[in-house]
Amino acid sequence: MSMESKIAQWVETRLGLKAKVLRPVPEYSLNPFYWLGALTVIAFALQAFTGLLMLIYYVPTTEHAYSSTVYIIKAVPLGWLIETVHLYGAYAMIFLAFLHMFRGYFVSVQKKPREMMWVIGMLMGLIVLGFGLTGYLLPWTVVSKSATDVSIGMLSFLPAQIGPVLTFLLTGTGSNAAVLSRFFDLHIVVLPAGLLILLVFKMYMFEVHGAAEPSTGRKMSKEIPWFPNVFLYFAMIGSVFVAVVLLASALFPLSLSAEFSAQAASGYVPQPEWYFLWLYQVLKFASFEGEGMYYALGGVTIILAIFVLLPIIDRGATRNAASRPLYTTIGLILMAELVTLTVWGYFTPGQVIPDLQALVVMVEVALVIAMMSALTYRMRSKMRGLPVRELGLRIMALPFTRRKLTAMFVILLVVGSVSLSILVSLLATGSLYSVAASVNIVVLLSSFYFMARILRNLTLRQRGALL
Amino acid sequence: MARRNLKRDDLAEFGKSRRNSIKIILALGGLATLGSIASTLRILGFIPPPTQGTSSQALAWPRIKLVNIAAIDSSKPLWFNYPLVDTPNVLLKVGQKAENGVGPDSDIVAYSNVCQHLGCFYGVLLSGSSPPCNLSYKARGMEGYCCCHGGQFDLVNGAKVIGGPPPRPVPVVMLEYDKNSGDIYAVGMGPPTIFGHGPPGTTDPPLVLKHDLEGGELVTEATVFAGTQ
Repeated sequence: MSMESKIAQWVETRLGLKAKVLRPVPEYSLNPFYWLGALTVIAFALQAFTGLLMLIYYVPTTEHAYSSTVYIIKAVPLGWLIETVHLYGAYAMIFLAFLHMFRGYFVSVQKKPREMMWVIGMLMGLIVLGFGLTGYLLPWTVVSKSATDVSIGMLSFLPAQIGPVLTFLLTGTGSNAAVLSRFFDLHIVVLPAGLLILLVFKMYMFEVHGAAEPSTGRKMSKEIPWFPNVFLYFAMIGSVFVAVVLLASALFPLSLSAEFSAQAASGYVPQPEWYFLWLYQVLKFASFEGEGMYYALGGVTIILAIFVLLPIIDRGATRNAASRPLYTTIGLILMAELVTLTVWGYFTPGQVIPDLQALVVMVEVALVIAMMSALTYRMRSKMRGLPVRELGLRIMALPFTRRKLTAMFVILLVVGSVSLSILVSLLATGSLYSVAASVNIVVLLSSFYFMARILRNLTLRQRGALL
Repeated sequence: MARRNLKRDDLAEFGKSRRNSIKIILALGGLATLGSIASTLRILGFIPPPTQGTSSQALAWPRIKLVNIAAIDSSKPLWFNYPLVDTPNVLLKVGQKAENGVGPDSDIVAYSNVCQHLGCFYGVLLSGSSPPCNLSYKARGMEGYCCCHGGQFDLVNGAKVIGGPPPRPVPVVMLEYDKNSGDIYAVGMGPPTIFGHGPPGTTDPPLVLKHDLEGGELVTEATVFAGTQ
């Protein structure tokens, strides 16, 4: 026996590599959509690594938090890269966690036997958001301190049984020093420990239940061993992910805003990071300002609770999105509202949104998504029996085969969007009952009507042509 | 053959007992969960609201020398921390007789810089100027404008809320003017409590004193900062 194989054998037996620890995975799961959770874990590992490096120099006191952060960026070799990777890694982790959740929602992974995996995953998602909240404060910049003050301020609107207790647990005496040290502890000890414990449970259940089959019910029996095939796949997507984060960090290094002080903060427009913009925007609706905030926070909590308990609520047998129009539509509406609120919040810092305008935009988004979804499901039910690919190709060919109709549709779409945007801006200035507003309402409704007619005719004709 | 049957029976027995164990564990787990929820709720009630520190000492507002009147310019607000080292206030010369104003023209006032809505720091607008977050807005007098959620305060008239979500005016800093030296002193805070100190909107003076002095270090010497605007 050669020397290498002797060494290899020693390693194999002593480290127990011969035992089949991780089960083989089915071939269909070698698809990036099946690895969003794994990528989130890789992002977490990256955060742990860069976080540990920053701990060497970071000093969590109000006097030194900012200066030590500046020191890492300016003086520590490659410190700017470590800081930036930690920031973008956090963005990636939060984004991937959202993506992982929505993907799971649409293919309905929470069905038997993976109910508990969904519940634990949702709790892990909340912890990830907690990482964002607590970590944001640590550099002690004018933006991060102000945004944190707002989130702590929101606790004062909670009921008297919870509010003061939570405030005490999160902020201690409430002085700047106490808040910083508690957020630091939460960020580097409490939250990572919580996340790791939940991760162990979730990974264990994943090993027992395996990856969910494709929701369309397609079964492929071929199983691929973990080592070396799946391991290499995992290593590949993991390295691509890390490479992307590194590249983005190297190209766009972060720039730290000014150090916190009251006089600097008062001249600044505070805005939370992008992952909390949706909540920020909801809290800027006129009704939810002041005492009404109670209802906004309560509503968001209820929606979150419904999402956590989804496996108890949505228990239908089918996982296929094509046969779950209600849940798919609700999910699409939620996603669209999240994106709308985020973009809207980004562009209207510090502006209170009048109730009517908020209502119109929220209802409008929900209606458009519901209409599109209803139309798609109707078309599908009429086209039953046709392969999806065939249908897609036919729909993509439409603009070329029926140019006049397409042109009319596009014109109507543009006219409708313009009148909608004019209407929204009129609502913002409160002149709802003007002539311009009524003209725009008429234009908007008629463009909707004609677009619906065109779509209906096309659908009927397509059905005639195909069946 | 007999041996195999025996083994199978054993397995069945084992299976049954395992199911029983799982049932027992689940039942115990359920009880434990209910118990822990109940006890958590109970314990939460016992977590004391933050009332450390100053309880044994006699409570009194510190008297702190801020700045000489010669250094106050009507176009430049000044920042100082009072009564604690991290509770910021703004000091202004509003240019007309103001509520709670001191000085020869009764036009020098100071307010907590922390908005009563959610604890943001509002900026100070001179008459006719606009805040960075809303360029179409023009201040009609000396106003506080909070760019978090658009709260507006009339700083001439006791920081009355003139727009936006704040539920009440920001607390005033009681000032004292020494005619001989021209020095201005901070000698106390008016109601309500500073945001984040005690239950929001507390106005009872002894409680205001108690809560405002909680949770931080008292200032012993004023440091006055010029603003950035």
